Amino acid sequence: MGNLVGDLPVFLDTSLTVYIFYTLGNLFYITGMYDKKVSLLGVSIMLLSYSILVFYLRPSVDIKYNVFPWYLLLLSLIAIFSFYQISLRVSSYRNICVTFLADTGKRSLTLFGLHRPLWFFIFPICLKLGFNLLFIVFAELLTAFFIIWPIHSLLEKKLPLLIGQSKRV
Amino acid sequence: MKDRLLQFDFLKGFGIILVLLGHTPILGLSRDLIYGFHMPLFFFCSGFFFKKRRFSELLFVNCKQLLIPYVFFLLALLVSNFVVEFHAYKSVPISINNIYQKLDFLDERSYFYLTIWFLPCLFIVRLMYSLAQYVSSNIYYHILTGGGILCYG
Repeated sequence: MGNLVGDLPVFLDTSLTVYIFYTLGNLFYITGMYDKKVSLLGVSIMLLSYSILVFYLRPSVDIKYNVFPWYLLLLSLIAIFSFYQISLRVSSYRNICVTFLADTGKRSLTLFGLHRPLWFFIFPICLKLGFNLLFIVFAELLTAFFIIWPIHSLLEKKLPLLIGQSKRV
Repeated sequence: MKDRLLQFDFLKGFGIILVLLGHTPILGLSRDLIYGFHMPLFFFCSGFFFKKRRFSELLFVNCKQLLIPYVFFLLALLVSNFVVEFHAYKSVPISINNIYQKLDFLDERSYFYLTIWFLPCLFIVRLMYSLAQYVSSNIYYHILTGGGILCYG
């Protein structure tokens, strides 16, 4: 278990491994499953089983290097489906937390692409200031939101092409 | 129906927080729990919004949505790294050789692979899935193929 489709260059191996998730995402739409709600008890059982199995199996995972044990296909689907169910329920409430997470989702590409360049600067500063692990995690997360959100808004207005959008907002 | 589903924004928002957390120096079980599903989640979401297109249109849209941001983020990564290195070593190690080493796509430790690997990977997956649609539009064949590939190793 581990490198499942060999060691191909330019992410080809990883692409082959994650192809199933893309396909299942499409199936989720085609079959109309996205509208169906599962009881909270069911979701809790699924999340609990995911956590327990990951705890016992302790899989070595790094999907970008194509290290993804086959049994994680089922486990990750359980987790994805559970969190989807939570999203489905929670998104009907319009409160600040839901709006924040939904807005974060809309900015996910920019957060994804720019947090590393940003943290190149933040991490040495945290070390210099003698932050402990928890504070470093906290500082990195905070800076990601406080700095990348305005950058996203700026790019969205001035250079939407750079974040994969076509229309100027 | 696929226009803007708030639950998917919410799900992606949750997913990106996990990505950020996964890249902080956390270790142990919390890392394993996050890494077990956080990136497949994004491929799953992307698959949900799949649209069948003509090949030329597909290439154009994918280049615009994925490859241009990829180049931009890669440049941001390189520039920030050069700035940090300059600050640390008081010299600017900008040379063709140095840049080549950072962008060497055969070296899995190069920047080419760091963090933003998701974008070219999604580009390939979308192309593969669209091409497979020309062969057969029966989704169950694709699931069998994808599952087979995953379990083959």
